[in-house]
Amino acid sequence: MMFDMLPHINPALVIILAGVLCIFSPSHFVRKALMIVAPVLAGMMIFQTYDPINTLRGQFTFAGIDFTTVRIDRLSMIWGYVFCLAGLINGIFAFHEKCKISDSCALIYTGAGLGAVFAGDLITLFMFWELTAISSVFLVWRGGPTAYAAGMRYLGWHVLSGVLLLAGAIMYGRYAGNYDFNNIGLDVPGGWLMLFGIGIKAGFPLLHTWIQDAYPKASVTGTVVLATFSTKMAIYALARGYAGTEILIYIGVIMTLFPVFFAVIENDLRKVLAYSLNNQLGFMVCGIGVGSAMALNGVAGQVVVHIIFKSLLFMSMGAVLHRVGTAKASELGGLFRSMPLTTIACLIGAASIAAFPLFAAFVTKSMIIAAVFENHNYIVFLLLLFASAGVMEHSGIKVPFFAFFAHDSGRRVKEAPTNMLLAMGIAAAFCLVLAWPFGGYQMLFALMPEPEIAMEYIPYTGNHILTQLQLLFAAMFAFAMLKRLGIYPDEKRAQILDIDYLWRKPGLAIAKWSDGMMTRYEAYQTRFVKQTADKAAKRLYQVFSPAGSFSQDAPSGVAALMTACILALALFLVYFIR
Amino acid sequence: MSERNNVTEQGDIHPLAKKFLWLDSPKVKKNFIWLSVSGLVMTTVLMIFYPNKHPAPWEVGPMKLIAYGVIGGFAYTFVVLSAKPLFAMLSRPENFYGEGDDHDV
Repeated sequence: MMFDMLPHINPALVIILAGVLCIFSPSHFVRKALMIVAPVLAGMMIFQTYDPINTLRGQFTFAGIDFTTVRIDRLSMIWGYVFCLAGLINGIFAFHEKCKISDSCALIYTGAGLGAVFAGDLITLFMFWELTAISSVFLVWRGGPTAYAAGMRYLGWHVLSGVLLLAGAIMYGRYAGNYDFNNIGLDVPGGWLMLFGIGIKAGFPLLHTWIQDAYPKASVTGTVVLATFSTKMAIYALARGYAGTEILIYIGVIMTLFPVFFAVIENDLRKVLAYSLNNQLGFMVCGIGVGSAMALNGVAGQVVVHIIFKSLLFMSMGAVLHRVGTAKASELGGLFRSMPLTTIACLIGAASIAAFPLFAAFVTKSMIIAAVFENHNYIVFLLLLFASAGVMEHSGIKVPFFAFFAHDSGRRVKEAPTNMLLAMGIAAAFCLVLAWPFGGYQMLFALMPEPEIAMEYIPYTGNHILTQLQLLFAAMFAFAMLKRLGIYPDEKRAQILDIDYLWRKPGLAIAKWSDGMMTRYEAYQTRFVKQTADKAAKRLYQVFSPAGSFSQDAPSGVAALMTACILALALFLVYFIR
Repeated sequence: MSERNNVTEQGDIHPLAKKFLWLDSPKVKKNFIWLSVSGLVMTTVLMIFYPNKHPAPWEVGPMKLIAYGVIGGFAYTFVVLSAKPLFAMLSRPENFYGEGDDHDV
């Protein structure tokens, strides 16, 4: 009986339940065991319950709405597996941390992300969507007092995202007659609202700042967890609901380009990685915009490898932050002497994100770029190549170079803790295995939404290897030359303004001014009302009080005359006005 | 010096790193450029034997062999050269927003 029910239970609930148990567990080891076991169990559930024919399960009707709480098909399955893997790696990375809130929230957040990916209807999607926001903000706040305001902004953005999604879903539901989460597009009521809602979480241009604001301020382990789920969940929602929507190609291209220019001047290496995250999301959004089978395969594959190599990079910078106490490029350098294993892990992550042959993104990013080329969109193709060189700059060279090489900062620290090294080792191994030409990338291809089409793509052709290497060697040459000429800019401590300046400074100033004006207006209004009431009371008192004019002795003839005058006035008004 | 951060100005170098200290020699740093130059030359020569079967419109003449190198080199240089004016325009003191420094444990 219980096993019959299993396919109808969203695997996410296992992880969420583990997160709830963590809150009540006083034992550190029990919590850590839950963090490691729960994602593994959820992954096994996905494997056991996947049925290519019966993909929609856990269906029931409530309040007139048809819910589909479990949908495990080829698109959601690959997201599900990588979320479970990421949950496992995050659990190992955070093994040393003794904090109930972090453990619990990390698990609930992981489960919420997984639940959203497996949601078959928009209302279920919305509920998990909001749960990711509520659970993850605590991970931001764990970053300390300076993270409080960033956490509030983070929460604001994410709640807004959920509200827009819900508003769009309701409009769409009333139009379509159901809330099924399938292809939505922009031509239906609520389509644009949902796109904006999803776009916030996906880091669309101008809506992206919460990523660079909150991620670098979260705790060492919190950033690694945060960088995994929300944005990729949004990419899934776009792939499910907006595949082939042309505007996404251009949004994606802008997303690949603008972070490159911010990353090059940013000093905080975790913020550099946050911009890099935005850049990588751009490739995915662009692929979704193209919408062909190869593009969507590329997007799914890129999500998998990106989660792994970006976790690896964030973990390596987290290890540096954990040991050194800062992740600022201007304060680091020469750490390969003390942290050689972390250095190797970071270099593997850097090579993976830069798409060197034999490293993760070489296989998947090229699928997206090739799909753009096949679409004959040559300008976009050229801009994606430009962005690829930018990736080489900020993540391929800048992060490892300034942290582990460059000038020796003289800091001699311990190597990262064993659990961190283990987590980085697992991620690094996946970066290599998933790009391995002899049976490695084929495993990834087999998980893609259209595996037959994916298998037709051969990433390791002589020409592809050469063109990619040439692009990367040219970028390396430019770096070496600019360094030699003394043109490459030194890292300096500074706050780099992004678009959020508008609401963090002028916007805040306007809000404070408006608040001040409202306070003054209310005070004025209160005073005015009080003064008017006082005057009226005084006048009434003067007229009607025992000492007032109406109480004074007066001849009855005068009173009769006044009454007659008032009656005449009333008659006059009634006669002429009616 | 906090024990938690384990920061010491003078301490042992990790045993594994001792084998790689040559990475820090000025000679290696100076000659790093030749690695990229040889890579560029090698890929350009090999492109003669592995031409692009589906060239982009700009891959004509000598660009058939060096297009990706030109794009990579130009893009990288452009991004780095843009850093100076961008930094001048966008940088502010670290506590500009008055929320304390970004995360330092």
